[in-house]
Amino acid sequence: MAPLLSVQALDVAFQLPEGEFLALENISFHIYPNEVVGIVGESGCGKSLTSQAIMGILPGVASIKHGNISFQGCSLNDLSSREWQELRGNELTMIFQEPMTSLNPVLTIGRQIAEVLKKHTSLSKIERKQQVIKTMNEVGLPRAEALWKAYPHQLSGGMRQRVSIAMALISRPKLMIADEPTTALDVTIQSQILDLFQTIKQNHSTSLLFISHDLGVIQAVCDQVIVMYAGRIVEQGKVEKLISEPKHPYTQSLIQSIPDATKRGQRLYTIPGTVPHLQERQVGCPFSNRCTYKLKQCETSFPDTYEFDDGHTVACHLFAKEGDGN
Amino acid sequence: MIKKHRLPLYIGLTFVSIAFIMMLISLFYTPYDPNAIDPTNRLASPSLTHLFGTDNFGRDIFSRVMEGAKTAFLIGTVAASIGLFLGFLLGASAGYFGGWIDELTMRFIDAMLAFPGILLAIMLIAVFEPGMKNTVIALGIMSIPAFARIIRSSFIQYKSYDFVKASIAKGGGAIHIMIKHILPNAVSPILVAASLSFSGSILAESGLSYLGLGVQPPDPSWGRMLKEAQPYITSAPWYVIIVGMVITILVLGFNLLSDGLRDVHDKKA
Repeated sequence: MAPLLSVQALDVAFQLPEGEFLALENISFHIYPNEVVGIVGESGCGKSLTSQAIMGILPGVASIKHGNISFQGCSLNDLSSREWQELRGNELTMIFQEPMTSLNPVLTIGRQIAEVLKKHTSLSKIERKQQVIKTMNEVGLPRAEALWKAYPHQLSGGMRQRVSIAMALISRPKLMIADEPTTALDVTIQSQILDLFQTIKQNHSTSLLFISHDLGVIQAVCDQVIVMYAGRIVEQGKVEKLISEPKHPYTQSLIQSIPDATKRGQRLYTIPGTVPHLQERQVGCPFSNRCTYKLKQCETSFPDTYEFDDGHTVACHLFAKEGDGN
Repeated sequence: MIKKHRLPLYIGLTFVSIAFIMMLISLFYTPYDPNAIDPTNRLASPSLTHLFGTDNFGRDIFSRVMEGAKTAFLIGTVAASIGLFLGFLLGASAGYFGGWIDELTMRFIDAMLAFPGILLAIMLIAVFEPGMKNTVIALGIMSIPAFARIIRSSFIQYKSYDFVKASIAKGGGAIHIMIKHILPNAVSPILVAASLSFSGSILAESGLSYLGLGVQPPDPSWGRMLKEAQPYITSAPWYVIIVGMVITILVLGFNLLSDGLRDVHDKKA
């Protein structure tokens, strides 16, 4: 099966007054139809930047230096702005982290959801409204008729995030990117929204790129997981395999720091140190100064990617085979 | 507390409403024909028959003030609309696109601000000819910088909001986002600017007409009435006082209104 989205050897650089810094290096992954792929990592690892690169909404100071992103077989790198407008919202869409700010405060909910249909379809006003009400019911928004006329400030955070999901879902996109869609919500609402994503996964033929810093959340919805650290992919594989047999020391630490019932009463594990800042990244493996298994070569060169069965890959010197040299 | 806070808004609204109602009534009815000359009754002091007295030709000042309200509102509305429209085009594109477009537009606005607006208006009127149409155009151009700067700052503020990114992610184009998403959010500061521009235009028109450059006879104008009243400032002081008061009330009304609107807007933010 051909992948829906292919990211190949993507480098994204920030143009800062102090010079040019690579924020994403050598990012490669595929998303297949109907697949849910999760990206996990701490803040500042380049998760959101990856999603912005795919949507073509990189901030002004960032640009793609190298590599290719292709969607349904055609490259996104050289689309005209008109072609982008056709693609976005129609086949490729995004859900933002903050439901408080991602809705326009002065427009009604109904109008905002219908906007996508107005842009991408030739439905009449009444047909659009029917479609919107249907989608609102589908994402679990009660009293859709009344909410049609409501403004965002009249809704709770969870409801607003449902509205964002309805906006993304209504055009039946091929790929939805959800950038930390549950981070701004409290835990009970978070689990409701995750259930909603499960339902969407079952009922729609939509692929999903799900970004989160929480492996627990990723585990609940994803098939495939990508672990990112300091702008690099360090491990990638099937979710069960990655959680049960994590290979990279960083993934192991992330899993160790998920709270669960068996760890009751103990002090929760935290990874010492922080993610190096963009300007402070040096040669070698960026995780080396926080890694308990650090080898000599970790400080001098970034490891190659080693592949295991089932497409599980890891970038770590610990897995270098004998005779691989450096 | 709230009442005190809104007081300027209510006073402003009252003043503007009084003038507006006077203008509306003048469309159908004035106590006397504003241009009817009565040489036997020149410079009569205010009385029940002539509420504001009569002028040097014996015309009823109250009727003429009502008639002049039409000119004032017409000039205020049209000049503010011209300023708003062109100011929006310049300010919105400068704020939204940024970069060299912003730089170019704002330097142009700076150049306009560099010399007093009234001089610009006098220059325009001198090059073309005095009259209602050219006065309105000149006053409209005069009010562009204020609108452009306020609209630009709103657009810079809102363009970084997530809902703008969300709209881009749904396939929204630049013009769609500017008009459908950012403009409705920027209505409050634009209203404040519009009401200030309104009063500024009325005052500037009075000034120009006083100098004989603005509205020409037979179009009625408060500014020209002020000029006509000047020679009789000692013999018929009510003439100049009444016309001056009327201009003051309308201009003050709009200024208080814009202050009040700004307070209401800030309170919310």
